[in-house]
Amino acid sequence: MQSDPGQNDASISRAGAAEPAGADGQSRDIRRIVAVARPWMVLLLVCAAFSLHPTFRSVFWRQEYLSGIVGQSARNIVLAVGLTFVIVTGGIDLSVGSILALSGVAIGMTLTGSPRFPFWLALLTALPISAAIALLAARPLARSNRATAAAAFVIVLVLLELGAGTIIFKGVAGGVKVEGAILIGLAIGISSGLINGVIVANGGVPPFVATLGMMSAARGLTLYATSSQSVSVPFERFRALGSGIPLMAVTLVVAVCGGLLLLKHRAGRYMLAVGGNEQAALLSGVPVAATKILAYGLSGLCAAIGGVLITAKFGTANTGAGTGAELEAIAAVVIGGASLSGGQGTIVGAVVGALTITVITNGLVLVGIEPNLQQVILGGVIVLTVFLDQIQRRKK
Amino acid sequence: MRARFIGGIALAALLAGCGPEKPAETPPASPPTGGQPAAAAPALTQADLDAVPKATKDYKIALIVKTKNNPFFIPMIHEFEETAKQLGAVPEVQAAAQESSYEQQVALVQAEVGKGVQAILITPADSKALVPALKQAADKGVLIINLDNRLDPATVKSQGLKLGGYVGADNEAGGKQAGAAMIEALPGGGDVAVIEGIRGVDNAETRKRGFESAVNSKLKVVDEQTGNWETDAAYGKAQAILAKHPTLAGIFCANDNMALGAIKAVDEAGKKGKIKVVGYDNIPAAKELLQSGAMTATIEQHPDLMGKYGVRMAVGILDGKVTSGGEFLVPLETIKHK
Repeated sequence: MQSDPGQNDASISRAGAAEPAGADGQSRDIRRIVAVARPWMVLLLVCAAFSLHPTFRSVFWRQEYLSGIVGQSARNIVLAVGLTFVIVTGGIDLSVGSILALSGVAIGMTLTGSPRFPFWLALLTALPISAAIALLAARPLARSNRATAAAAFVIVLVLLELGAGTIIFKGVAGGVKVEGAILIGLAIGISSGLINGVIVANGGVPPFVATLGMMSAARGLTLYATSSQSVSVPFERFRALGSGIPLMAVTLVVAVCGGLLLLKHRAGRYMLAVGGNEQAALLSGVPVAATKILAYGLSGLCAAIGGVLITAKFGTANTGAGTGAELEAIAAVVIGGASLSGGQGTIVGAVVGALTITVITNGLVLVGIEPNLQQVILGGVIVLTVFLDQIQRRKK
Repeated sequence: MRARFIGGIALAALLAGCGPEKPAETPPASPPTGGQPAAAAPALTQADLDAVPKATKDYKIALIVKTKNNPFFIPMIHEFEETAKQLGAVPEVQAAAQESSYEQQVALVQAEVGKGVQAILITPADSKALVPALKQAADKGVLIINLDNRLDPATVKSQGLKLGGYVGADNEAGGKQAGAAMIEALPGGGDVAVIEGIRGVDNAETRKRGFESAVNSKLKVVDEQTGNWETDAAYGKAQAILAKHPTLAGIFCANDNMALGAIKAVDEAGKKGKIKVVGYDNIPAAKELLQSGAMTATIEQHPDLMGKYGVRMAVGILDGKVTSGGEFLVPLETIKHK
């Protein structure tokens, strides 16, 4: 791309396409404030409602319990941050729970050296860097001849994949250091996300279907790689990441970086533009396909960070980790005010949404609601929140 | 409905504090041999099955498990294959994609019959829906052995399915053993909570029922929550339970994955070792936790033995060494913190 349309045209950024351009700037400001405040109001309302119950009142507002709530929310916060990128482009990512598990067991296998880290996972690890280099190599050719460029891309990619994959495969035999294992886990998350992105953006497969496929495939690969056995990770230096201040710090860094990217960076505004009106974005010169691929890649990265945190937290890479996590994370993003049709959503909202879900699940236990009814109530709250949001949006 | 009996397992009976033993309907298959303690009547003993000699023909025997996604079935498959080879039979393993895919299992049963196997060992995904397909197979002369999840006796009877036998474990007895371990760890009594598996699933319900009936008079169950078999979910529930019940003395988790989560929550609350956590399944990660005392006990259900004695029963019946229609309950083992 030569110019920078997103930067020049402010109307593309932040929900631009969803709002009719009018003179009523003031009411738009009010609506924006309401949109920002809404997730906080939902959280406050939930807390207030539960606080009517004496047990909740006496237990919940203690400092150690509140920090426990944040610790419990860490997984959903990290996943919700990643999902926000995808959801604002108008997509969905159902595979985050499975990618979390795949990255987790990859870390476990590379740290302990048992069961052996398979070659195909090494190929997956090498994918992001190989693809990036191949893209750089093929790019100069693209101006003159697209077909040659594509061929060059494929050839470079395959060669790099085989080379780097072999190096990683040999390198990790017998176990690696904590930092290396984490990098491998993150690379696998990014790869899985990029594959989602390419299938959606270039393949034209609906996001729901593409990521549903990845959800099944990544879970299957998790089980296949480990022969269905969870991997024990008895390394204190790694496990320290999973609780207390390191856990909070990682979660905070992910949220802050995600927020800055979405609000301040060109790429983030492109994502909002693509979700707001894809045709308009395309015509304004936004690289729609690349933006989508980036969004899914970031979602995969965040899922892998979730995998790091969960594996560190429990000292075990569980093959069933993150089952159903995608639904909780999507609910968090939606409670946080994002629109599932794209173009709207904030990271702060997603974080508050994740906290709200944790408060609800804890609160229902504290006030002694029967477990079968807990799920009914959680489902009701999610739908009610979105319903109220819809009513508010319909009002002029 | 549940005509269960705790037989063949001296260990289980001792530790479980003895549930009511109901006599089963079928006559004894053979008298107990060797030094085995006499157990409830129709049960085959381990010695009976250990005495099965090499197969007279190279029988083709198929094992159809629920799914390979569940680590529980992995040792079962392994021992099934090993034992079959030892006995000179030809093993074949099939699995459906998901734990609940009974329709796929029906198709697998039909496919195996078509391949001409002599026996099918099956852990049915549904205790009723598989019966018609198995009846068709049995009518064609295929020996059917039921493993693990028990086929519904009423359906089996009404459809006239003649089962070769049953090899499995009693989850309720296992829950009772977990309860006994909890009682032992809390001699002064106290409040306990249960983190159960997915509601409505048979082994989740029976483990909980067993645990609660065992602790009934000695300990007070003050909370029940479901952790959906998953570590992180159980962790969240355990945090809330611990805050709600400051005097809590123990938590029973219906599997070890959930126990990992409960242990993390107990640890963070600064109550490691003070609050007793009992798990179930004896996964590899449990070893370290049992050593450190973070976990008080777990129950080993021996799926490996189900695979092993399933084949032995099949070969024994095919060669006329073992009477058809018997059952063998594998010993459950309580593994404790030393």
